[in-house]
Amino acid sequence: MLILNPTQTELAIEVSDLKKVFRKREGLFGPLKEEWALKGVSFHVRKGETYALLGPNGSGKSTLIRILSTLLTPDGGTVRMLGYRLPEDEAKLRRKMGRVSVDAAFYKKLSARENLLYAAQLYGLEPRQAEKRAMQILEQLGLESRRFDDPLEEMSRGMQQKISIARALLINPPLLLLDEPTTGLDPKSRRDVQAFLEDLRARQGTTILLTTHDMAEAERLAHRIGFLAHGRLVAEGTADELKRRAGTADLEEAFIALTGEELNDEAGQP
Amino acid sequence: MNEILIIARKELLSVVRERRVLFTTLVLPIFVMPLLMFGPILLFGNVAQKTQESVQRVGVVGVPVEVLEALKRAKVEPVPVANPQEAVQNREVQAALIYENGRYTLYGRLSGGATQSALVVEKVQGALRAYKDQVVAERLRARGIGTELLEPFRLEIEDASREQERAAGLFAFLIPYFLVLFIQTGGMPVAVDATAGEKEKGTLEALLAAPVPLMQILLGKGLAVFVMSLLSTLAAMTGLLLGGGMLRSAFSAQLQALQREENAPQLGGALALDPLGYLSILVTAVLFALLVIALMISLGLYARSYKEAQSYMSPLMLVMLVPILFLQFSDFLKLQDWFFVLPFVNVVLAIDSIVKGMVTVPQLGITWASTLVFAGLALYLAYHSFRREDVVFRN
Repeated sequence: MLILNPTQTELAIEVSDLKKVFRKREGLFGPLKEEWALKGVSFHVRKGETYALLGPNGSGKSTLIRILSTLLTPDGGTVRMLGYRLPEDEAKLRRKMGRVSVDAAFYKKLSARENLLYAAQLYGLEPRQAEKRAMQILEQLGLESRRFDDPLEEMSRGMQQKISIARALLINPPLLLLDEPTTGLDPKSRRDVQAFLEDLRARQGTTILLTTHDMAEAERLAHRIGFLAHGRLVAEGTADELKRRAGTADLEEAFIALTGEELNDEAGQP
Repeated sequence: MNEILIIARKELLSVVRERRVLFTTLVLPIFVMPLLMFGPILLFGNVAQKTQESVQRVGVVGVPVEVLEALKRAKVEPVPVANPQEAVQNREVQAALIYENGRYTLYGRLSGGATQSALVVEKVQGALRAYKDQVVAERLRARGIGTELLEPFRLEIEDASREQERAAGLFAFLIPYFLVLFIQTGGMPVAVDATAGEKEKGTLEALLAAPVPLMQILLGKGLAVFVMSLLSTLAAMTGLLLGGGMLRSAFSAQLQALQREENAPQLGGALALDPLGYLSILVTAVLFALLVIALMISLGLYARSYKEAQSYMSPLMLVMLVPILFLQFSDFLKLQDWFFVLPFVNVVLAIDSIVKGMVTVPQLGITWASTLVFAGLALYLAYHSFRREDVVFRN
């Protein structure tokens, strides 16, 4: 079990009673239909902590990550990250956090180097500094230098996802938001990405908020885990605490017992 | 400003890597344009010349011997047919001539554009006219009257168009058409890739989460689309001017012969503008490009996928082409200044007037100002779309 330094009490993320509703018109002139994606979610993440949000599809994980990434505006509640409030301080906050989405979204005709350089420059790094940092990261990923200029579409999904995480690290962010970073990867690539994240946390002490379907991944990477179902945080704690509370031997059974739901897919093996 | 350039550079780099797009937007127009402009004219000229020089079969019924001789002199082979109309329809002969009760009836396939039959009909008509003149002259002479009686005066028609209008020929009509065509087709691949494409690839979220103001993202994408539109239009115009020049010199004899033909189609033409005229076209085209680009980005942002974006942008092209169709009849309209306020119509009318050397300062001013206002509104629409969660996350 992972244990966070008990002296660390400073909070990196404070989410309180967070709500988000999506409105969709039924037909061209029909009434607006409301769908609550988040119904008052509250949790906090301490600095240096890795917190995993577990939930099935449609539980509100991606909406939550999108709100924290400043892409969506909440309809209720408060969010404070690294001392900044959302949405008021979103411009400042964007420079302090990295985000990785579920599908390793890249410009696949461009090379790894070009993708990283582009991202670095958008975050305000000088071209020379961006180039140096991009090269450094690609070397750390174990990518052979002759492949730096290969189009990303020619690389494996696992390597693409590692580069995606590396892209989020270009600016050395103290906070990393990972939206299902290993979904869709083969077992080897999944292990590679998990090892990369462990190494990152050990070396840099980055605060990580992670969403996943994968129980084993949550148990391996996270200090604490939150169970999200139907837009509500049903339970949270360490993996052992959750299992104890549910009276089960493994985390998946604990999830079913505490949420009344099953994690529907992508529960891959570590 | 720096972020705008960074984004524009990335968008252009993505396009450069797509060789197919580069080929269709930059290379193809250079070769296609001269063929499009001069190919049909040369082909028609060639066919017309061959028709004049070679002998064609023409069906005849009851045609007197003297007329048959006149037809033969005009390189036409008379062939007796039972049913002249049917013979023409079945293409057994190119035309057919009947003589009945002092009246000639000439059959030909005259519908469906330029046909070889129409050229043969013209040839037969010419032969008959010459024969008629000959008969009339002989009869007048028999009565001791000179042929000058038939021509109490001469009529000469001179083209009084301005020099630019005369030189422009088809250009006046084609330049607005090509501008619309290439500004949109050149910019469309980038516009789609930079908007709906980013949504489909999932990269838009990463971009929007970056510390770059939305307007700068929008302007960066717009700049890339603008560059591609401009390059594509320049490629087309280069093809038109250089390729046209090369074709003109390679086929100068045929073109000169065609120009002498009374009914020959109007030739491609050449621009005879002063620097101010060129500058006016450039400014008009740039403002028009801004409007089209802003519209394409708005549509692309709203779309969920490449396919959807393309299906939105294609009708835009049709909407822009409508004013050009009406341009053919612009001479029958009394141009009012308020026409130059209408989007798309104003640009087409303004360029037509510039090319013909007839544009006025108020018309040009109204066109530029209104196009700029429409471009600003379209840009605001794109910005507004970018800010809407239900548009950006519509997929």
